[in-house]
Amino acid sequence: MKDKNNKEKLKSLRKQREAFVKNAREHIKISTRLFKKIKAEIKDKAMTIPEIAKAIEEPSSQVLIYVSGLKKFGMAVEKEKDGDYFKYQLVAKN
Amino acid sequence: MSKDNDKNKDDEATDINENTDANDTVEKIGVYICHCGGNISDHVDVEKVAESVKNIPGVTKVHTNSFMCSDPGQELIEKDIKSGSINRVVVASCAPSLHESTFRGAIKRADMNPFLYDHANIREQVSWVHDGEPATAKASILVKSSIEKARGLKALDVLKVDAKKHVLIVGGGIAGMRSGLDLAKQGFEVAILEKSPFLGGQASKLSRLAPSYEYAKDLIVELYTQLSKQNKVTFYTCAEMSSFKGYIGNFDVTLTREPSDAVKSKSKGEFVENRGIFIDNIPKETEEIAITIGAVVMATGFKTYEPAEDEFGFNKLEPVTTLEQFIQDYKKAETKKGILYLNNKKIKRIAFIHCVGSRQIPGIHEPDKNGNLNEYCSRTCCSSTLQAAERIKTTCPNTDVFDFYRDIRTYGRFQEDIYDSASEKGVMFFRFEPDAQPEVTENKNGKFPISIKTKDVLTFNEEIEVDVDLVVLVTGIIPNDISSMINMMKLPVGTDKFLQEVHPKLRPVEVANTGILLAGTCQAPMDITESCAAAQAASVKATALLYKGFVELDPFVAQVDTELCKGHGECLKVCPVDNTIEIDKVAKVNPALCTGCGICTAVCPENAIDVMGWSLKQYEKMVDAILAA
Amino acid sequence: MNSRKKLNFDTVVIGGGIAGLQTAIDLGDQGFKVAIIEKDATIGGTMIRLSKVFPTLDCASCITTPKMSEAAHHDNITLFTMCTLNALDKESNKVTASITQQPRYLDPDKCIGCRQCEYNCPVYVLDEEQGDLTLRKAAYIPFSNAIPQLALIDVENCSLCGKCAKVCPTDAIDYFQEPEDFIIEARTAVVTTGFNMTPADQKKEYGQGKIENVITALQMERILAPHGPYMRALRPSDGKEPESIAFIQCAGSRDKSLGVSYCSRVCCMYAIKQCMLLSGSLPLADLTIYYMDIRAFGKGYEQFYQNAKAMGIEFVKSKIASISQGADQSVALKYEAQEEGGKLATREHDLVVLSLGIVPEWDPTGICDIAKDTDQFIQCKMPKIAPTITSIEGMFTAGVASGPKDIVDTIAESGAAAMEAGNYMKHYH
Ligand SMILES: Cc1cc2nc3c(=O)[nH]c(=O)nc-3n(C[C@H](O)[C@H](O)[C@H](O)COP(=O)(O)OP(=O)(O)OC[C@H]3O[C@@H](n4cnc5c(N)ncnc54)[C@H](O)[C@@H]3O)c2cc1C
Ligand code: SF4
Ligand code: SF4
Repeated sequence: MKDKNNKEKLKSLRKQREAFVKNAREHIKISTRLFKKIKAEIKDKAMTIPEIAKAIEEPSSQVLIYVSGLKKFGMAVEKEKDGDYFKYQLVAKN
Repeated sequence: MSKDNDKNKDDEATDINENTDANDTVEKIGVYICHCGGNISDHVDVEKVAESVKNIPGVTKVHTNSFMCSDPGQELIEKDIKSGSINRVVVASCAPSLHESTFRGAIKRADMNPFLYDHANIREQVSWVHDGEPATAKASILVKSSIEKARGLKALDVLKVDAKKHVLIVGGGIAGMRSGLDLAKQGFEVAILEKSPFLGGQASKLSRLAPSYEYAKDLIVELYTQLSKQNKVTFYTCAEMSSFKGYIGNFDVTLTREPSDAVKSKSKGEFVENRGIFIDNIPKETEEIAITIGAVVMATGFKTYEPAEDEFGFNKLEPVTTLEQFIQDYKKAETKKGILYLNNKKIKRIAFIHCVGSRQIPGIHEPDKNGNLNEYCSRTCCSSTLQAAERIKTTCPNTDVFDFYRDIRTYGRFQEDIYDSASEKGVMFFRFEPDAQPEVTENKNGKFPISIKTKDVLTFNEEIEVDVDLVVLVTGIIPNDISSMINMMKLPVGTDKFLQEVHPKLRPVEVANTGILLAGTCQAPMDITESCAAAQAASVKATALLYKGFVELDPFVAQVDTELCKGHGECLKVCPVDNTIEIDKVAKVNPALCTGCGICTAVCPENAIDVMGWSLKQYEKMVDAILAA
Repeated sequence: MNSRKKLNFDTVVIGGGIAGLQTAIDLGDQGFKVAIIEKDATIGGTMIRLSKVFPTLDCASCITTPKMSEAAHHDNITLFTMCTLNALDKESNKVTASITQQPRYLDPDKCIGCRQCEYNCPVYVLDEEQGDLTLRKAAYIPFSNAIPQLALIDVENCSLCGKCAKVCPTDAIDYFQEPEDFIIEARTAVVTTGFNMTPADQKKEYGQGKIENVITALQMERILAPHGPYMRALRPSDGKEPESIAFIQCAGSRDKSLGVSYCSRVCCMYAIKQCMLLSGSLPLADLTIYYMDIRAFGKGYEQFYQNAKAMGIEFVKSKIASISQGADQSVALKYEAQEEGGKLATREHDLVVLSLGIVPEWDPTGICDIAKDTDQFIQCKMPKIAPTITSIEGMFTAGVASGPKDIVDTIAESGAAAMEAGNYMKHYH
């Protein structure tokens, strides 16, 4: 069983599941791009969702999903409130 | 394929001060503190609590977890036991009533005695009532005192007592019959206690049922036919409970049967309109029957609300009646030229007023003479009213039907169809607010004897006046008066006066007294479907309790140290449960009866009696821990 | 494929929601051997995914986990998750369920639930367990109190990069796993397949799901849950803390044009509950419920409703004419205000919740001959005195599978199904 996931076999499986793999890579591409832009903004200062959205020119609904994803996986935290909006900032190690 | 339960899993626990050379007599206490999602950790600094107890001598493991009751949480405990790191468990989480059995189960699976466990409630007693620093401080104190208690825990065995496979069903209505049938099919002996000479209860007064249009009579006859085929069922009609003693598995009950002058000409098993199935064994004189049973199903049902004098003209204006009376009258109704005739009176226009005696609001509705308000919705009346209205419009299209309501609650399966059909057939609806009830007055000179005035929300609060021949008050459901049984059996009652279950979701058909179950409308308003479902749920609980022939009880009962006991009998004097303590040179406790209240421990001059699992010594230690903090 | 495995039980329960769990526990407690077949990766059904439950406001996980864990650890109960039911037949006193277990793409006997695969997976997709409001990985555990605590790989979103296989400490990952067919033979079956919500995008007047900040009741449940997507109440378009939230009742129920003419029975109460929870977390917010009738009929429910009114939650008797996008991402509701002379009024809210209705999750067509009723839920043959008996002898039903019901009614009915099944096995076998 040790080599059940070996390189050769995986390669042929990737072929077999081409559509799924493509799908997944698309997701990786989108999230990498968005995370990169968001992280750059909130690395040193806390910002609200509309502020981030404006800075990176992405829809604010999309930004909220990715910021809450960052929060869920421990990469960002919620900070103080500014008007009706909370601010978010990257945790130091990222 | 894979089965998805009971696998052994690992986790990343860290040892705190592992006590490697200790033998098993040394306490090794594992402390498990729960976040409860955020229910606890939003208000209590859980890590700080963990920090505050980890250096207490004897504490060998401290874990925190987001849901201790989840599988990963329980596995923390199991793993620590199996690895020999702990031999006492303290869980700090929600109220023990929710999860005590969960954690005992986890401990048992790890082959440790489940009573070597104590529980600190840091949710209901802490995070839901305090916040911030004080909450954390209190949680920490409670955990510390629990640790001290755990130190003194001893392995205990559950008490096994023999149980009679014999169930008493109190009430011979549809729920009681349903439950009796289930339990008889299980092979249990069944005793059905009914105060009237009839079986069938309130349903006997009904006719066609919403929403299936079945006849209530047919259902009652069907249940009775099946019941009478069972050979272990005894009907105690004309009977009431006169005494009740004992404990689950072995309740001693006396029933008193009284002669009744009800219709004797009927033969056994015949359905009598509005009364039920006649059981022809009316006693000639008062008789007392003693039976011993294992469990009780309460199925004492309901009665309909009786409107107060002059409530919507009731008892003052002749053409004002109740839904219950109307349904009975309607069984004999006639139709001429598409117009309804009730008791030979022409009813050209009829009105129904909903929620009479239900959904009463403090400050708006008048309490009854005992100061009671029925704040609940009676649940069944909207559908049965609309069905009556729909029937009238179907058979007597020339009778006008007016319906005055607050909300139409045709919630159940196929009930909305009745509402739709009633609207399509021309029932006219008016909607009123609770603080602007319709006014029912005598209409002296008009064509119709009664006039109803209301502000109709549907036409944007227009003042409306409708003249009618008959007003039907849609009266709700109230529980039957069973106060003597409530006292005898010490049954819990809710603020709504219905019998009160332990928890509506976790233990919906059980009351706090083990061995007593609830079926049907003695618990809350329900329709026949719901009453039968509840009755069958009660049956299944009774089956699970009794089918093995014995029951297991918690061992938290008083125990006498016969070396110390001098037989003073002080304990006997204060014990609130009859026959629990007996003095025969020394005191003896019947563990099946003892509730573990501990009053006896306070009065014993020799300190010879103690409650297992909750000893005086443990209390002292707990108090010390609290004071030290 | 190797020859199909055959397993024997007394009862096979289809669906591991609260109805299925309670039925299995009540049968197991009578000594019967029970198999629970669940299509999801975890048992618990809708109830484990709720926030708090009316009318007691207990937190849903706190009262669902004891049942989940009781079933999972019960000596007489075996769980099978990720299972598709292909056929359920009844022949000569025997129920045969033919089942396909979908692969998790890991060895369940090796997986220790450590989540290393999840932490290291590079694929982020919308998290359906959180109402699509946040992200999850392609390798994941559905949620922290899922049972069993096993990871799975969402194969349709897996890039086959091999990271998870590398980090898994027990070498559990197996990308090549295939679905496995097996058969359960039992004496009885209980159908507890529960429900789904009516689609949020079916009504043209309601914007067909295209208006921002119009969410479903289940999304609101997640927002209010202790481990929700935001861990507080925010509106999804931009994270604003909403100042005004509205609920539209009977959105999807009591509406013949949608084919759902019945009342869904729980939406009035869950809307009131959600308002109460919101008023706790956002004490200054305006909360409005637009409704036709408030159906608070269960034990303690009317009192719950009156409390909500006393707390200042506004109840507006009205029909919603249309929903559209208002200014600043708000939602504009046009409605006929009955209490204001019936005129058409418009109000804007930061967030609008559709109190969607309930439709059956499982359609037996082609799988099982069990009869459906006109409302598409499982038909009850004796709805009054034996509410769990179906058209097929030896097959029973409980919970929302046989019509909308709240948890209290579901649990009672599950006990009833266990009683019927138990007695059936005692007498006809
Ligand atoms: C927004 C919302 C809020 C609510 N709030 C409350 C509340 O506060 N209080 C309350 O009492 N009630 C509430 N309810 C109602 C409550 O959710 C239901 O009463 C309860 O969950 C019904 O349980 P069930 O087991 O019948 O169905 P489900 O929870 O739907 O369970 C059915 C299970 O069967 C599985 N399944 C389906 N088909 C198959 C198949 N073919 N093969 C294998 N498995 C299958 C499903 O995956 C699921 O796990 C709410 C409902 C909603 C929608
Ligand atoms: S069921 Fe209808 S009539 Fe009866 S109390 Fe409830 S709302 Fe009123
Ligand atoms: S419960 Fe309330 S919201 Fe739901 S369908 Fe019935 S009336 Fe409408």
